[in-house]
Amino acid sequence: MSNRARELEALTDALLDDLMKATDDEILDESIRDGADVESAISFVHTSYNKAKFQIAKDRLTLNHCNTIRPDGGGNLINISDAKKKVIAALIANPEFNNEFTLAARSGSGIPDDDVAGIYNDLIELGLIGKDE
Amino acid sequence: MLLDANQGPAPCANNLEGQIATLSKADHLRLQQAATALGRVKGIHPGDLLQEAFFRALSGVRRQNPEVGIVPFLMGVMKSIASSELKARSRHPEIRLHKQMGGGEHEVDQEIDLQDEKPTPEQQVISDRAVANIKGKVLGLFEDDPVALTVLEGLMEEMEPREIQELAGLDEKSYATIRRLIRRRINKAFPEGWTHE
Repeated sequence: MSNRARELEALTDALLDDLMKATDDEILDESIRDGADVESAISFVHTSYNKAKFQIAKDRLTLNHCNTIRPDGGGNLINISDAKKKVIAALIANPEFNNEFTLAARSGSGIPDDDVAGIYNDLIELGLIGKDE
Repeated sequence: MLLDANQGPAPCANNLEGQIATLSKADHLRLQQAATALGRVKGIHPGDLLQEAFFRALSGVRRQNPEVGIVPFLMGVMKSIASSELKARSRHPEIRLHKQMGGGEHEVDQEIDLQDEKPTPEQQVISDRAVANIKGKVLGLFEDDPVALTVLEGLMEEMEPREIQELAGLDEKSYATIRRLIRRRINKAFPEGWTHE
């Protein structure tokens, strides 16, 4: 960072320090004399906060969408890890179908998330898992 | 992963909501001024800066120390963001805020991990010129007040308060008054911050 940039940063730090040390009354008094709009400041803070909350909710929704499967032909959304458990349980309960699936799928280990949806839907089609279980 | 779909909000989030609801009018003004001041130096929109600070607090990337009030906490987060953003931009101007930092529960703000590309000599000249221009404008605000100018220069040079007071011939109270004057005059002259030209 150049010396001048560092100087401006140091000035900003000092101004922020001053801002925190001023009392509430001093801040409000200044706002009146300088024509600062308190309502605008309140709106500024709350808008920023609400936007951040929205961003959090949106990111969580995206995450949920990525981690869920919707069975072919409709049915309830299911979390990928729950789907894996059902796949394993169905294959254990129905060993006659083991040959239809790879060793990795049968053991439940190493099934890529992308493949879980396909296997899950295959098992629904075979009637080994109910759509709305 | 930072956000777990099945996880509720970070513990800080629940407390944050309550603290925001009970902010004083002066605290709202402080946060707005702080966002503007920090955004001013780094060329970041104040609203984006505060929003990102809230985002990191809500998501748990930054955790509030229970002994630190909400306003100084958010100021600290904004300072950290502004500092990281500036470093990232000096490498890649297209980088924007809201790039999530993945990591553990108590992850502190990380610099965006990019190949280290220093600004070109031309970019450096432009940047230095812009900063010199800004500094000139700020100093120009106090041409009519040699005492305030002395204090201002002392602050820029990170001198100790006592040193500045001695140099400017001020007692503690007058020094505080001058500092407030400086803050107000700069805020009034640059209400939306200044952009790097």
